[in-house]
Amino acid sequence: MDAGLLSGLANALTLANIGFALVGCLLGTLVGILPGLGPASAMAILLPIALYLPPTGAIIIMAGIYYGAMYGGSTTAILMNIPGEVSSVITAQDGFAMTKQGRSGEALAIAAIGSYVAGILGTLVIAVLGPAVADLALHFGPPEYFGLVLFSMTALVSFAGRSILAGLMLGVFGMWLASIGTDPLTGTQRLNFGTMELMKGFDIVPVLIGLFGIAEVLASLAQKVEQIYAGKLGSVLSMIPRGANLARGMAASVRGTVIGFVLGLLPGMLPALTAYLAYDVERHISRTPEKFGQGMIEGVAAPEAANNATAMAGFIPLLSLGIPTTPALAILLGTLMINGLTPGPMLFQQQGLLVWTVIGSMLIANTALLILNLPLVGMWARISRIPYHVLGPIVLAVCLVGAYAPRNTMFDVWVAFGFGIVGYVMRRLDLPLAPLVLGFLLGPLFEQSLRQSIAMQGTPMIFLTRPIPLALVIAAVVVLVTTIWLRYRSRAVMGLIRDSTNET
Amino acid sequence: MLRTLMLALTALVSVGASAHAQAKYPTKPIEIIVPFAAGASTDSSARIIAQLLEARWNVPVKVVNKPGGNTVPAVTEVMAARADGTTFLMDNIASSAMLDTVVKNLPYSVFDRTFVSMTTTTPLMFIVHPDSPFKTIKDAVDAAKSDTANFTWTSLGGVGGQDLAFRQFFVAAGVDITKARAIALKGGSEAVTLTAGNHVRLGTGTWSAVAAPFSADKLRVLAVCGDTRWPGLPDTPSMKEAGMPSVDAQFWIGISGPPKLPADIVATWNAALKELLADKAVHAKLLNGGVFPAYLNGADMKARVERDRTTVQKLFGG
Repeated sequence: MDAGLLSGLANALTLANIGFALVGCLLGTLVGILPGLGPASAMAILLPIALYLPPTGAIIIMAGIYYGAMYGGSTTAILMNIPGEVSSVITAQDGFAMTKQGRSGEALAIAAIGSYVAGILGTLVIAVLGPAVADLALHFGPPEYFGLVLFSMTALVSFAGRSILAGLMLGVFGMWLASIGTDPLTGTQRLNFGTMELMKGFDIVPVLIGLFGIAEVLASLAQKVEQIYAGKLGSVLSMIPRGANLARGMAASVRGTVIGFVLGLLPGMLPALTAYLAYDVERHISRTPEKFGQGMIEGVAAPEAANNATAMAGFIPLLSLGIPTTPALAILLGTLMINGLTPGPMLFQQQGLLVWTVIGSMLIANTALLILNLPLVGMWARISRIPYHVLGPIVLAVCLVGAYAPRNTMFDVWVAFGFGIVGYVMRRLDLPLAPLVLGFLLGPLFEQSLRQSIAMQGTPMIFLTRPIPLALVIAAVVVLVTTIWLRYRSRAVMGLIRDSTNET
Repeated sequence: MLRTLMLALTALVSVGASAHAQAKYPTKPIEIIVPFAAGASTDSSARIIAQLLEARWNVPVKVVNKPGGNTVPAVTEVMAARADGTTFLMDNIASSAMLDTVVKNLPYSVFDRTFVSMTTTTPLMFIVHPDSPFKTIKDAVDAAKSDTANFTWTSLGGVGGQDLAFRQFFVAAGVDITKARAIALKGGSEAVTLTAGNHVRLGTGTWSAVAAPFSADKLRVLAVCGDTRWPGLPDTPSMKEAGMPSVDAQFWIGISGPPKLPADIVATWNAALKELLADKAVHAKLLNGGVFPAYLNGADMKARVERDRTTVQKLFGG
């Protein structure tokens, strides 16, 4: 069938298909805002409904939920330091800092704009390149993954805060937490201390809700915070970033999109990981890396663009090879299969109009999400002025429900409480949360790719005999050494400046 | 609470099904616990069946995923549930016949649960990269014999459908499995992706993961475990036809309930499932979901578990 982007776009503009896109966007934004309820669970609940809807409609709704959640996830991260999705954890770093400065509107707007840039660029790349780049997902075997993960781990060092040693130890602690439960490769139990609950291991959602949300509530209580932000907010229009700020945000969005998209073609590269890496790149290329964490607009734009770009990129291996890169896309694969549609090049040939309609609807849905999100900026921003004795208990309740929801177990609520205390103590000791979270996210991929690679030939030499892993291992070492050296030097320079000012 | 909200929202989209309370079972909402994550064969069986039962019985039939821990947490929850016909397990070979070989000192016997009915099954298939020198499963057997130390195969670790198929394969080939090179992976779709990327010499998978890369010419299927061909692969021989009848690993799926589930509840389920699974329209839906209808009543299902358990214990040395 001779279908293209234009005929797809035309078909996506039918009343029914616009309706499906809007329903998907709204549901996606909703699950994005609610911590704990992720796109995967919402899509799983919708799966039976997919049998009633026309296939195009079902896929448009599902896709809308998936990337709609990437928009919504940043809202609570920015306003309350509770990431609505794992993919928005790093957004909280600078987003919440901006809220505390009364710039929540600006942060929310750039998050939506960044996501939109990624959504539109991502869709266009899907339309232009499509199946041609899908094979990347296959060329990456375990040794290539190991190289990539090792390289990503250098980000741990740059997130380490004041002490590299403390940062690395927190990273290792995160990896250790992630390794509790069932050995993912052999199915044997490890580190469960003989308890039934630990057999399932720690789920990332309650851990994050504890470290960020509950710890934030505890810290606000301890400091007797009256409001997150007490000053005036101004009108909605004044909140939209403009001029140099907008330009910096847009540039970061484009960089985040590229990083998120390329990595997003690979299975296992979750939106949360690519968001971290995009943030790390921003900090490396910035002239003022020390200002990250204090409300840099790039620190919000880049990760939000990256997580949405990763969500978009996943459609390429999914539609052209049937390879799901994230759990949510595995459910979308199920939706396609139940409707009798097998992904692959045949899908593009036989169901061309369907595929192009879905791609066309991505343009429409992303635009709808931007239109939906920008006017709401003013309303959301006012949340930061709600007295904390009202807001605090609501936040706590949302956290507890969110911790319970993904696996339906009370154990996870206690886990969230436990990590709430851990997060509070870490904050008091001025220890960074980022290495812990990054270790938790990267740990399983690191372990698996290392063990699988060595099993392939029985020797670690495999990393040195294949070009991609070799290049990545060398790059990781170079980046690691230069980062440590730069930090050492900048500390030495800072010391000199301090000494010289003391003298005068 | 969120789940209820989502259900309410989805109900708006769905065909309005009004709940007429009935005098006899079932009158209350039913929950089917799936011991795996959403998206694969067990989950899609559960969701298709739940939806059909919901339409038939006019009560909500909810599918809840409780993955992880070798299915033990999900099984344990159903074992402890009230035997009132509101809580069921989407049972399968891994959570029953294999369970006490995988997890030692379980606090209950595998046979304590009430077996209700077997519903669906899906055969394991042996797959290779399109450029693989193996044209038939016999070629793979020859390579496994002559070059055992470099014969890489996809293992999902320990005891599962994929590993059962490979253990049967190595026993039938007369090769010591520990001398070959297992690549341990964490999930079925990863095994298929790795094979399609030519990183492993022989892989296995079920149709739900194999279908798409197969249609994209990224995989060849050498043979299908058991004695029947798969509907989507009319030209691929079964392992029986390929001369290895003992390699018959099937990942079957069924419904179980808590211990001492009343016989009339079991009978209601049996009657409903038997009729639904005989329906041609339902067959098509299930095949799209990657599974084949395979109805058995509770007693026959239990016999199947006993038989498979013996096989598993022999192969895995449990």
